[in-house]
Parts: sequence; structure tokens; C-alpha cells
Amino acid sequence: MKTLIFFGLLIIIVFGGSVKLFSRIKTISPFKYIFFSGTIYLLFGLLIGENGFKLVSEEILKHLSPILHFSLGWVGFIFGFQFEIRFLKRIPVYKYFVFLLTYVFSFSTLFVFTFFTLKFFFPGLLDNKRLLFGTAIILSFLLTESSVSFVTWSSKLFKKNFTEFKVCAFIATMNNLIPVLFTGIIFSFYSFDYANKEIKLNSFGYSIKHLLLQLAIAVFFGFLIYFLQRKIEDRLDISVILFGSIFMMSGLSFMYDLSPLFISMFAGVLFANLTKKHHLILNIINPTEKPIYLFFILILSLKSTYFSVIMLFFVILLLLIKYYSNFYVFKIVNKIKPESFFMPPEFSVFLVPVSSIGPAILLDMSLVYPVQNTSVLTGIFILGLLIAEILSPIGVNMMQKRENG
Amino acid sequence: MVNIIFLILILVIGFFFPKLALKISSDGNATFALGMLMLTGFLTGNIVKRIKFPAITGHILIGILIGPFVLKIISLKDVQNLQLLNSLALSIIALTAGGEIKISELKKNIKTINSILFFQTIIIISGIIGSLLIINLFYPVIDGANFGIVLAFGILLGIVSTASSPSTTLAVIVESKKKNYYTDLILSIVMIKDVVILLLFALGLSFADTLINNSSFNPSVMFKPLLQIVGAVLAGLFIGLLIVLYLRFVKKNSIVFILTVSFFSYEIFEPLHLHPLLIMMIAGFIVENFSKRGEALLENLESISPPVYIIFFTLTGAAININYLKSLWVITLGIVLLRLLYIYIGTMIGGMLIGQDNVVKKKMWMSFISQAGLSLGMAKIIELNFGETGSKISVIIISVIIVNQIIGPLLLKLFLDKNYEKREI
Repeated sequence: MKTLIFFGLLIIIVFGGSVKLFSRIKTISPFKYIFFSGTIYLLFGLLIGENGFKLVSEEILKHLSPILHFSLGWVGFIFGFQFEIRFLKRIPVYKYFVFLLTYVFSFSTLFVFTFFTLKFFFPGLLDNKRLLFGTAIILSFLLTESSVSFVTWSSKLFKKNFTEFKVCAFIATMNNLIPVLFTGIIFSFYSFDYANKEIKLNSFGYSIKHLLLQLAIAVFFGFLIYFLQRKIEDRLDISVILFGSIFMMSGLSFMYDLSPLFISMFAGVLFANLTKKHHLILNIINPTEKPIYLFFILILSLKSTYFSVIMLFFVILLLLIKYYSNFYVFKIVNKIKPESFFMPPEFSVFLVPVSSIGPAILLDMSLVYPVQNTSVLTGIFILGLLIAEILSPIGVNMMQKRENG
Repeated sequence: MVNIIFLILILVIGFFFPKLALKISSDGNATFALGMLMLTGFLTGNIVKRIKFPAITGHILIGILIGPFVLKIISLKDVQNLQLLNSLALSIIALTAGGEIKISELKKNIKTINSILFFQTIIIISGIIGSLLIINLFYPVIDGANFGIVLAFGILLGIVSTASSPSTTLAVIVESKKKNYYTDLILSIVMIKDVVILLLFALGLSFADTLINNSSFNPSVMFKPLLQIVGAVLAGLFIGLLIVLYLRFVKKNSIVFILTVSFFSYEIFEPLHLHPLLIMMIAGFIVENFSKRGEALLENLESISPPVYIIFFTLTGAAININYLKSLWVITLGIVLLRLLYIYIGTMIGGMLIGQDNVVKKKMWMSFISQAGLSLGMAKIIELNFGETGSKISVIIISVIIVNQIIGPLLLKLFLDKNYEKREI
């Protein structure tokens, strides 16, 4: 707690100083992005939540649960709506190749590092090997993610490298797909035993049935939304259909212990490929993205979370690993040259901050698996989110300076 | 036809899916219920519009049908768990309703408003009291009740009967897309009447306490409701001011800000039993009249109102215990008809004395029938204050409100459809 308040105060003080300093030297402040993205609300949530002044009771959080369930489904749907097959087909193969290489490499290095060091950093919290494995794998999936909005935000600061930024944005989008898919799978294979308060591994047959059930619900709702809105042109009427269907889908997911993110994402993919009203739907979706991210950030930070100084150190190491794994992959890609383009290795800095899907996955997990590991994971993730969004703009600054000669 | 097919499909899903769950371990029921209410409310709204009914009648009816007292697809616990969303929706409706009152318009119509308000109140209260006392001579209104209890019942029922629902009134007016002299007049009367009724109700509770408990006049009974009204007014002024300051200095994401303020207002003021409707109506009034950006904000809120109305009115329907009507339909019907008559007389005399046109004198009474949250809240207070007698009175009042909430929107729509062109501003 003290570490956290200290860290929060430090950020505020440094931000105050840095704005003045950086305005003189005409470059962006490293703290600008956490204000732009809204991640700064994390500190506000931590201050008023269970880690701070405890101003928000369990009762209030319980009142918010239908909105939280809906938001998880909504984020999944928004995410899935991006995946239109006709557009995906147009993307050159080398982009998929670069994405796969970066993903596999950074995920593996993060996993190997966390699996072998978690117990050293957090002794006593992870007493069983299976749990250790699960925690390491979830953490690696969460930290491998990237923020598309950070890539877009950074790209506006540069005058060239248009193609390279496009590749980065593509990798960032695809990086988010894997953890959502993974959430659906892990929910099928692991369930929470409420009687003994522990996570248990389901039988293979049960897991497959569970996975198929998730897909069946997604397909059903994807078609339902499509048929319901087919003859409607009014934006508000369509929004009622979307909201109502996603409330139902998310509610069902929690009733059956399924992942609302996973199901809604598939429903979103299906709907995106059926409908022709993309423009209208995007008009409904776009204004909701930021408020929902802020809502996740607030909810995540309101809940009790474990923090320590050693965690801070651990998080910095993880982010460095993420940066360097992508850095070396870009170097390798430049040597292989799958296409006539050059990816500056330092562009890996754009892939360091994590996206809005991360908090959603974590909330989804913490609702279905209310165990202590989730609280440790949340702590690591919150620090990771903050530090990545502070350190990465420094990297962007350095690159900008280099570009300006 | 398509709407009916989808409605049946969603009802089937709602009925079977939760029952087929192999192991229900998390609390997704309320979320699922809300989705069902939204989709079925939307579809039923479309269906009833075909027969020229207002959409909110469809929302209320489907809420009753799938709610915990008829088909039981949605449980009472789900309805209670969705209370926060219901209050958020009510806050937005009340804020928009408060914003409909402009000081300049109010000044212009103040004589008409006062006259109709005064005569409606006097005639409905005295009429209901007198009628009940007469009926009680031939047919016991409440089993085993003495004169004092019947008189107390008359006073309380009279006051509650005077109230109309601002939320329902606004919803029907917005849906009809009609804005004219009459709609402004109706909204002003309905909203100001709410404040008057709350004050009268505080006084009525003290009288009823004296009559039911056969004791001397106890002003302390009046003290708590009065304090709640003052508290609500102050809270409304504070929230209104907060929104005005936000619009002046921040401007961005104002709807998100309104939602956040409504949420915290509910969490802070609900435990203090301050009337959320009154709080947000006053806030809306302040925003409209004291902020340059207020009008634009309230128009934005009005433009997102259809989903809000669906949530609010389907939930209102789901909370209606239709079983009350089964055993009390004779007395309910009698009181509903009497209320219609007194509203008609009150509006006619009020309009006549101020020299209003025939539309106001002879037809505007149709706009004051619907009753909802505030009236139900008063029924709840009666139940809490007067034990077993309170429960008997409250049950009758609730059954009257149920009927008024179903026929009210229909009559208002009928009025709006017939009289729109006659005196447009």
C-alpha cells in the first residue's frame, strides 16, 4: 500500500515537473500518454478503492456487476467486429508472418522467464506447480498484448515510416486476438470449485463440450443480432438490439461459467461478416470505447490488489524482456526480408504498452477465478500498464530526436 | 409478424436457457434479465405501435408478463439487482424532464398552471375523501375499519391520486415527437404538482397518524418527509450546479459525466431516502435555465432516451405485482373511475376560470392519468408507517396505480394525437 501511494505521488510530482521541463525542450512529456489513454484513472481508483481509502464498498461494486458483465461482452464484440474476412484476405502474407514471429518469440520468452522466476519473486503465493504454470501462462498472454491506440498515437508524431506503423498496428491488433481466444479455451479447461475455493482441471470431454457451447452461443447471437437489425435503419433502435443482445449473451456466459469476451468476440466476427451496416454500427461502437476502458481501469483498481517493491522490479524486467524480444525479431525479419521493407528494431517500443483488452481479460478471470493469484496478477498487470505507458513515450521521444537529427 | 416471431424466440430462450445451465455458479442472471427486458421491450414497443398504442405501454406490459408475478422468467431478485440501472434510467428521464421547464415559459403560463394545479388538487382530494366516506356507508372499503381509518385512507389516497408520473408523461411526449403549447403546459403542471404533492403528503401522514392511532396531532410524523423534501431540493441544486460548472469548464464527455453523477447521487442519496426523481428534476431545471450549454446537453440526453425508456419501463412493469388486482378489482376499478372523473372536473374548472380554450378545459385531463415511481414510493411509506392498516391501504393504492400506469399512456397518446395541430407555438 505504502509503495503504491509513494509510486502514485511520485508520478504526480514527476508529471508536474516534467510538463514544465518538456514544454521548454519542445518534446512530449513521458506522462502525457497516461493522461491521453485515461490510464491515470488507475491511480484515482487505487486511491478510493480497497487499496486506498476504501470509499467504494463491496455493495457498490455488486450493484455495478450487470454493467461490468455487459462491458466485458461489449469489448469482446467491438474487438470481434474488426475482423472482416474480406479485409483480412487483403493483408499481405508477410504481415502475418511478422506477427506470428513476434508473438511466438515474445510470448515464449516471457513465459519461460515468469515460470522460472515467479516463485522466487513471490514465495508462498504459488505453492502448487499447476497453479504456477497457469499464472505464468496467463501473465505472459496478458503482457504479450499491445495497444493499437498507442501505435496510432505515436505514429502521429512521426512524418515517415507509414508502412512500418501499419505493420505495428496490425501486430498490435492481432496480439490482442490470441489472449481472447486463450480466455475462452482456459475457461473450458479450468473451472472454479466454489465449495473448496480452488481451481480444478476439467476432463477433456467436458472441456470440449464447454468450448463448443461457447461457440454455439456466439453463432446463435451473431445471427440473432443480424436478423433483428436487418430491416432497421435507426441508430438508436440498432443500439437497443446490440445492447440487449450483449446483455443477454454476457449474462448467459456468467450463468454457465463461460467467457463473455470470447463469446461476444465470435458473435462480433460473425456479425461483421454478415452485416452491411458497418458505418452505422461503428457510429454506435466508437464513442463507447474510451468510457468502457476507463470503467475497466476503475473497476480493476478498486478491487483489493497485492503490491510490493519487488513487484515493481519484476514488472520492469518483464517489460524489458518484451521490448527486447520484439527488437530481436525485427532484426531477424530485416535479415530474412520477406518483403522489400525495413522494420527499425527500435519500433518494438510501440508494442510495449498493453491494450484495453488486457484489463477486460483480467476482470473476466478475476470474476470466474476469485483466488489470490488473480490479485497478484492484477498487481503485476496494473504496474505493467502504468510503467509501460510511462517508459514507452520516453523511447518515442528518443526516436523522434534521432529522426530530427 | 417478424417482431412477434422474434419476441416468441427470445421468450423461449429466456425461459429455457437459464434452466438448462448445468451449474449456475455466477451471478449473471440479472445481466441476462436486463438483456431480455431490453429486447422484448423493444419488440413489444414495435408491436403495439402498429395498433397506435404508445411504445411504453408495450414496455410495461411485457415487463409484467415476463416479470416475477406472471411468467416468472425474471425473478424478483433480478428485478432488485437491477435497481441501480433502473435508478440511473430514472435519473436521466428526470433530468430531461426538469430541463423541459424554462423560466420564461413558466412565467407566461403561470396563471394556467396555478389554476389547474389548485383545482385538480382540491377536487381530487376532497372528492376521493367524500366518495370513500359515502361508499363506506354501504360497502366496507377496508374490512373492520372505523370512520377514522377510512378518513385517513381517504386523505392519503386523495393525495396519492393527485400525483401524475413525470417520467411516463415525458416518455409519451418524446415518442410522439410533438412539442407545443399543450405539451409544455402538461409537463410543467405534472412536475410542479409532484413537489406540491410531496409537501401535502407529509402533512397528510400526520393527519393519518392521528386518525389511525387515535392520538393527538403529531407534527413529528410530518418532520421526516419534510426533511427529505428539503434534502432532495438541496441535493438537486447541488447536482445542477455541479453539472453547470462541468459544462462551463470541462465540456467533454458530458454524458459520461451525467451518468457518473447519477450513479454517485443514487449511492449517496438513496440511503438517506431522498427522492431521486425530485433531485434530478431540480438539477435538470438548473442546467436548462442557468447554463448556456444546458439545452444542447439535455437535447443529447433526449436523443438517447429510447433505450433508457425501455430499461426503465420494462423494469417498472416487471416490478408490478398484478396479483393485487385479482382480489381488489372492484374497489380498484371504482377508485380509478372516480379519479378520472375528479381529474376531469379539476382540469375543466381550472381551465375555465382562467379562460383557456376547449382543448385545455375538456381534453387535457387525459394527460394527468399515469402514475408510477413517486406514487408507489408514497404507498410504500404508508405501509411502513401504519403497520397492518398501512398494508391494507397500500395494497389498494398500488392496484390503483397499476391500472393508471397502463391506461395513462394510452390516454395521453390519444390526447396528443387529436390536439396537436390546434394550438402550436
